[in-house]
Amino acid sequence: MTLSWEVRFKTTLRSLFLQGAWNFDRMQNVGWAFCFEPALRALYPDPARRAAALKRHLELFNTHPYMAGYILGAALKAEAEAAGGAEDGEERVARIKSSLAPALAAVGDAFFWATLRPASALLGVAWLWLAPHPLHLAAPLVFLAAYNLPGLWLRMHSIQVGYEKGEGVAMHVAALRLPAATEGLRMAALVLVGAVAGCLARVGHPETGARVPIVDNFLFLGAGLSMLLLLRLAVRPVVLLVLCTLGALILAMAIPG
Amino acid sequence: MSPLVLLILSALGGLLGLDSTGALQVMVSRPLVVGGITGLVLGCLAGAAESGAATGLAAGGLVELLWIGGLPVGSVVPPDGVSAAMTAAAAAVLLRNGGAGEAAAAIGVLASIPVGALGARAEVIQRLLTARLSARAECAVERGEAVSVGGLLAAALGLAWLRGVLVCALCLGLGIPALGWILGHLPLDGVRALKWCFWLFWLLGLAVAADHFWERRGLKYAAGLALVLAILGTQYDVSQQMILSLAVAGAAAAGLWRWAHALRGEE
Repeated sequence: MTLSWEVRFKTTLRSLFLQGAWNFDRMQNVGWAFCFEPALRALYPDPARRAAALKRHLELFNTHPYMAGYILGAALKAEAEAAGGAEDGEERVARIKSSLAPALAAVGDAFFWATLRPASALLGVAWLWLAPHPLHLAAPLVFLAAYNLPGLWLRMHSIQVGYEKGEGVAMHVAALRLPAATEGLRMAALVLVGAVAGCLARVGHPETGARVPIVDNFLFLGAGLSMLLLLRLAVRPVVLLVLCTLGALILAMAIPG
Repeated sequence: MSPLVLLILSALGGLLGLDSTGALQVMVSRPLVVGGITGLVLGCLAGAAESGAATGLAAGGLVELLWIGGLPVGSVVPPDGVSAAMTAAAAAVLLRNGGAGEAAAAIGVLASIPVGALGARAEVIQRLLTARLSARAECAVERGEAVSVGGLLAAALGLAWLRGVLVCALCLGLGIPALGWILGHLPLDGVRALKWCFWLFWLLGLAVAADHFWERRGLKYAAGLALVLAILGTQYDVSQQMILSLAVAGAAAAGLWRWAHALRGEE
């Protein structure tokens, strides 16, 4: 049996709600079942068989939401074969879910959560500080575009790729060479941090135009490097935030205004 | 803040909060975006949309940097960026009168830390309640009853929206008047210290970002570009467009070089 383009498209749209009912017990199980519902309706006209299949798909599942499309596509193909009477079809669906989910979660977490999202956010922040007025107000749009162009592209086509490649979808993901892209993005982001730090003293507050009240630019950069050193020594940002506040209060009381 | 504005912002916060986990995840729930939207809404109501948006963005961008390393990996619930950024931006916009712009933003950012933690706690409770919904559905399937998975998902999303609304309403409704009172009763030295804090927090935010992307090889390029731009920016009359172009081009060149190097290494 095969699944129509329409069913796969519905699954793709529904995959945007994969984490809609995320819970600590079964994690993405309800979202997964929600994504699979159109396929189950198409594959199992008999309500009893459909209910049995739904029960299987309500089991624990968790992966990176952006990479889930590959698993959904491969599982759709296996489910269609199972519905057509293929031997060990149901076991194959379970195997696809359990083998691909952790591997793709690791790839997705490292690329999307730990790299692309913060790097895009940093680009947005850099735009806010460095772009000429009033273009600087487009900072959130710059962030959203930088993040969502690759993200949405992957989410929109991954189910189709998974459906075509089946269990071999892992090879396709490996061919994307996301770890290399991760390294490149991290380097670009780190250099961008330096650029914003170098400019911060000059550009002034986005709204008031006020300059950094510390006259010496290099003293300012030195303070930033000291904070970085403390963070590298595993001091938590919240602790540094409190220390900054206390230090500023003491300085303000010591230096007459 | 009038009750109507509080209602609008809370409903908006609940809606934007859905994006953080439950729906779409296109990142409109990130502090940079939430700060900008909050500032725009409050600015529009005060007849100063552009300055409101810029102030909200400055506060939201700062919260974004400070929490740049908070990752929703596995069952980890990071601090709630929506309520935190909304509180910081609202404080920055509503309390900025009398030339206390940076001080208001700084006190808003300080308040966003406990607000974010409270939001995360509320999300844990919401996820525990969602687990009950899921367990009920499984029992119904066991018994052979028809289960609407879509309905279940909608109920879970409704719960998440309600959580977001309640947290935002609580933090904005109680937090902003409290912060206003504190700012109004601070001695002048305290206000001056908060103004300094605003800039120190930006430095800290950048340090947090550098720590997140830490790579020994990249540090010399980052420091080099910082130095070049600091000298260009302060010693020469370089245009803002040129500064932006240099920053983006430097970052892109370093990233491409590293990417190519990594690809060669893989081969």
